[in-house]
Amino acid sequence: MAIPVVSRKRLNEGLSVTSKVFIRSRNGNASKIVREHYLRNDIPCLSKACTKCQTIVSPNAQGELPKFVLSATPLKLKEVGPHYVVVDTNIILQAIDLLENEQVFFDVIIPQTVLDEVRNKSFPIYTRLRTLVSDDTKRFIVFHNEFSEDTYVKRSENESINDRNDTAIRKVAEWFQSHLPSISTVLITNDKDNKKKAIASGFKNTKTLVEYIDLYPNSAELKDLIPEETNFKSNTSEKFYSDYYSTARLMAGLKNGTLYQGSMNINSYNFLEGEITLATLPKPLLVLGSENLNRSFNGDSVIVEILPKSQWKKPSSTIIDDENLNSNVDPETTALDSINDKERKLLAQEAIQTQSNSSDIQPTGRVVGIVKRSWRLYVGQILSNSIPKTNSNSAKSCFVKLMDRSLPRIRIKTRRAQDLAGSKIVVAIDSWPTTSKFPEGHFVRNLGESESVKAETEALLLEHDVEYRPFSKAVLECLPAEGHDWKVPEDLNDPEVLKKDPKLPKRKDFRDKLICSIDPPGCVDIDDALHAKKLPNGNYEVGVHIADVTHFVKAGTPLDAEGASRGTSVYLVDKRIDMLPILLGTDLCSLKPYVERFAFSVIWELDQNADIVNVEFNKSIIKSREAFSYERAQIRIDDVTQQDDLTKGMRILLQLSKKLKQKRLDAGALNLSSPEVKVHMDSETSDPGEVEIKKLLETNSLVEEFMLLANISVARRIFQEFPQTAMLRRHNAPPTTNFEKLNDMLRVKKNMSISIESSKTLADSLDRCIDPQDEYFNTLIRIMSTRCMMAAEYFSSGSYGYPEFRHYGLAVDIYTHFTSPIRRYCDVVAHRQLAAAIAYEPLDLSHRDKDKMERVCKNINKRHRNAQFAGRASIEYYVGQVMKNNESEETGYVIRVFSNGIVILVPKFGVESLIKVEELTSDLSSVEFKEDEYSLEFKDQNGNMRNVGVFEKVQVEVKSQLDSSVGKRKAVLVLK
Amino acid sequence: MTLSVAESSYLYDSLQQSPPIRPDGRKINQFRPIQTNIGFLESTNGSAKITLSDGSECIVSIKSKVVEKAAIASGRENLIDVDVEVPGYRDDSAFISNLISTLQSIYTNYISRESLNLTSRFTYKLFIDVLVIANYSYPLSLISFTTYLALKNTYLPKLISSVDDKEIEEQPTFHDYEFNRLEIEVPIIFTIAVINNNYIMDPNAQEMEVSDNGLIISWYNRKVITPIETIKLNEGHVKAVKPELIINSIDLVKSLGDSVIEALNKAE
Repeated sequence: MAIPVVSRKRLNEGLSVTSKVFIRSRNGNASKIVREHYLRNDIPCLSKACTKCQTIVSPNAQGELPKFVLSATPLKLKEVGPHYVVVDTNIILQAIDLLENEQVFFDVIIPQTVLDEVRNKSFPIYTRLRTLVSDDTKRFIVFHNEFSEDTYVKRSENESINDRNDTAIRKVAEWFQSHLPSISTVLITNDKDNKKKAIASGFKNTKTLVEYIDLYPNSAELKDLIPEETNFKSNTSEKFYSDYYSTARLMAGLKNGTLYQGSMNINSYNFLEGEITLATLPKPLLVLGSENLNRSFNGDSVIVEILPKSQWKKPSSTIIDDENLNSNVDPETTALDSINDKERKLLAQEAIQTQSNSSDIQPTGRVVGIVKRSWRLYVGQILSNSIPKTNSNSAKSCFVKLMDRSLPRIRIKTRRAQDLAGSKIVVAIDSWPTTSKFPEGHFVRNLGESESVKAETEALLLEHDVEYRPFSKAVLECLPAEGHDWKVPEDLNDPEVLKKDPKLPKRKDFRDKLICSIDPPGCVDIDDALHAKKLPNGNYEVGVHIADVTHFVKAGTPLDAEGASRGTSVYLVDKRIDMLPILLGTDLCSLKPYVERFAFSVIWELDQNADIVNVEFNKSIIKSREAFSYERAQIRIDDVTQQDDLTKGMRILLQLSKKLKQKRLDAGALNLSSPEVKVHMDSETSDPGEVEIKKLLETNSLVEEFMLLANISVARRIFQEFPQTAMLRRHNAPPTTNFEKLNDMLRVKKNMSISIESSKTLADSLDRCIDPQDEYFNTLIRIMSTRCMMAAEYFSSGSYGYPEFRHYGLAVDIYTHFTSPIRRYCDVVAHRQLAAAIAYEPLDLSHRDKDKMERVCKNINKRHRNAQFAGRASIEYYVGQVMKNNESEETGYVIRVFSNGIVILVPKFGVESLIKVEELTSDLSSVEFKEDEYSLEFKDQNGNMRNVGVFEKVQVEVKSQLDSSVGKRKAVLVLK
Repeated sequence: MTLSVAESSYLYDSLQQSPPIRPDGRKINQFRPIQTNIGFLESTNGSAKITLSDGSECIVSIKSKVVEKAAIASGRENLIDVDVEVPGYRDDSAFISNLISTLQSIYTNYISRESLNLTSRFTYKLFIDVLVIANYSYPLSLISFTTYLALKNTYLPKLISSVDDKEIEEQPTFHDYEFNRLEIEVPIIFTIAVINNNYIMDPNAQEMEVSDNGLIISWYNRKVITPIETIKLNEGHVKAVKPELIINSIDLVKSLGDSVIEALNKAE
């Protein structure tokens, strides 16, 4: 290699230029890239102990000088004395939790080289590192060594980039040591080679992480937190999994259509069975057995290949969880390397044919590469039988069973296994080498005793990636300075007021309208309020008034960024995690009764038929006359003695809402069910008391209908104004395959069917699914249908064509979310877009940029889903707690039948649980699984033959049982 | 450059002498001195510049691209693409097209495919970009010498993925920093002017002006190769070339070829 070496060229005092040369391999091509690289001499060390650097610093573009962070009197430790720490990339990647620990690591220097490497390897860790640096308490700095004349290192010939970066990191440590001789600089690296080279070059203060932590007086308790790569070096070189293909092979395979990329979706009943939805195949490709899953996790983005036809299988009809772990591994996985790409292509065609023929045998695949890991922090519990018996002081491995059942157990090393037993703990995954049967990780944090409210709540928030930390200072600073004393200005023409809010005259004054709000009891964040009155021409004026959140949450502020990242408020049984600070949510924005508030109003003129004659959007000032609960509103409407204008308005609303609903149903809107339950809390002890299924009143649907109407009207308007970036919501029609199984069960058992041609036919066919003997049957079918539906999603209008905007469930052509800006970020964006559409204020650029909008949509879709899951998990936990105290006999329905168990849904508690065949019968030989009839025949405990089929109504004894090995309370059902 | 009738007559007469008297005093087999510069364009895979004593100057840069062999075989892509730019000539002029087609064919025929081979499915393709900055005499020799230097000093990215991808396809992947030197033999082209019974190597502008005809003779791997062609070195004044002169010219090239290559190989 003899590329002409362009040495440094001095441009002027303090600035010189050099060049970097590298090859970029992309899409099989290789381009030589040459970059100019500028070096300067005014990069400060940022140490308060330094006298020289104070004089060389220059201000940045904002005119601010860099802040000197490193302490003049840093922490003293034995051996090294007062010292600064330079960390290598591997330390950050492996032990970011330890860096964040408040007891260790102060005055840390992060070389820019390290920062860049971290960013390339893991973006989440990079952001955590950035937070650490911006937070002053632990005194972390980034030293831009790549741009400093003194520390820049040129890559020499035949040197790998890693070696070059290691050299650069060592150079930083050496430079700091010579720059500040009074304070020792310690280089910490877990890279043996790097350490050896540092010591060879005379830099003695080089330590591994363990050696460094050992210097602390309290090292014993800290050591558990150290992930060690060498921890699990097994002496056997036995390989449990095959290696992934090389990137070169993966790229070519994807390109020529012999390998496929998709997202791994592990079956929640069988953790050894995964599915990957591929664009090229009509049905998801099955991946069976841990060897074929090849270390992939649920949610990983993976690359798969189709296995030879001899290994195609039926999807399993058995339930497998971690307990019967090693049984299903297919021993005869022939090596695939012997097949060439031509044969693979034929295989793919055959797979497509087989899937379309709906035969029993389905094509299966094998994971050959992982594009992106979905690894995050996981919550779990140490398996009690894996805790080592001997009580020695050295770290022992044990297994952590995760809360998420579709994931394998994790092996960690800890000295405190016995202390941690029975607690919910947070673990991080470090790696999963081919020589290890299970992924390897390390202990991060103890959440507290299993089943305690605190630990469980935190666990489920962590599991669903819900940000629950208090709002940061920067966010809170965006709130109005008046705090709770903020008021709508009394005199709207006061020049002082107008100076502060020049847009005030554009607001309509609706304080004379008789507005009220109707919400669930105890609601404090009131998003919406309504009013209605009869017009002289016989039509009705109906207004929906939504809290004007965007008056307080301006685009581009930290408050807005926080809202955008949280995406939604999360409602748990006993707790609400707000999207916006509580001051806004429950006070300033909340449309509380008797006080004046800013609102965003949608006012329609509706005719007798509830058809829209006219619609108007305005920012406004309103004063709600009353805040009703659904129940109280219902009582007031029904009370004929009440003849005031407010009540009359409510009656108009009710009457119009019924018409709206009828029209919607006629158009084919779906009425799907999910077993929504509510947990009643004892108001004194906040112990869960009883569970009930949510009741629906007419007033519920009153509010709902007008919110739908407002959302639709707003959607049309913002789409008209911003055809490329309008924030909308759509709901896809379900693919036919989703309903195949349900339809087949219905046909076999009840001789019924569901048609999914359109939402109208679906709604009608659902209405026909009635069992005269059982009124719950219809609801059951609706619940099961709901599970076959697609999830609705937010999108920006430029991402799809107009016909795809359709909301299948609501049967409208266009829809958005506008009516709950306090708890959903989509509504905030819709508010801003609508405000721009009515020329109230210009729209922020970020909401007119297609890419940025798509990013926002992606995030809020994810947050929305997570919030739903977290809410359900919370209910599940509390239902478990309630059942703990009440054992009872209830009615249940069989919803799935497996060869080794049945799944039963108990509507009263909204729980479903599995009864394994071993619990059904003592005579296992009598069990017969009739797959085509969806039934299981067995000899019950009394010795009588019994046949249980899907949809069957059964009596079950419900009790709650704690699985002590995983600390999870499960509903246990016993068939009567 | 136009010579007066007296000037051209004088020059023609002196070049007819035996041995010919060249205006700059050179022997018939003597080149004008050249100045070379190699590898100065960082973002290319190889580059060279030659400056002649009369101020003619040529820069050649080599860029590479990974292509499928199938694309070359089917004729969708050339293995080597030559582009020539000479100030004062349109891209579509006969002069430029002639230069390009001569160079294109000689390089395509004589640069070995094996040297550009990557894997069983992929090969490098080379782009040879020629920029003649100033030319006072026929530039073909100048271009071929400069291209010789550029190609001899071309470094291609080093393949790190597997070479055999016929049955199981792989996408070529390269080392992020290391290059391999392109090991090839490159043909060069000599220009000879014919004046009556004499032939002179590397004619300058005045010699071209009065010459009866011109010859190009190519040299590759210590042998004379095609193309051997006549070329018009001036407007108007053209006479037929006697066959023995062609033989003599070829002998001249044979006697010179090795030493020219040796000289070029010494260039830095």
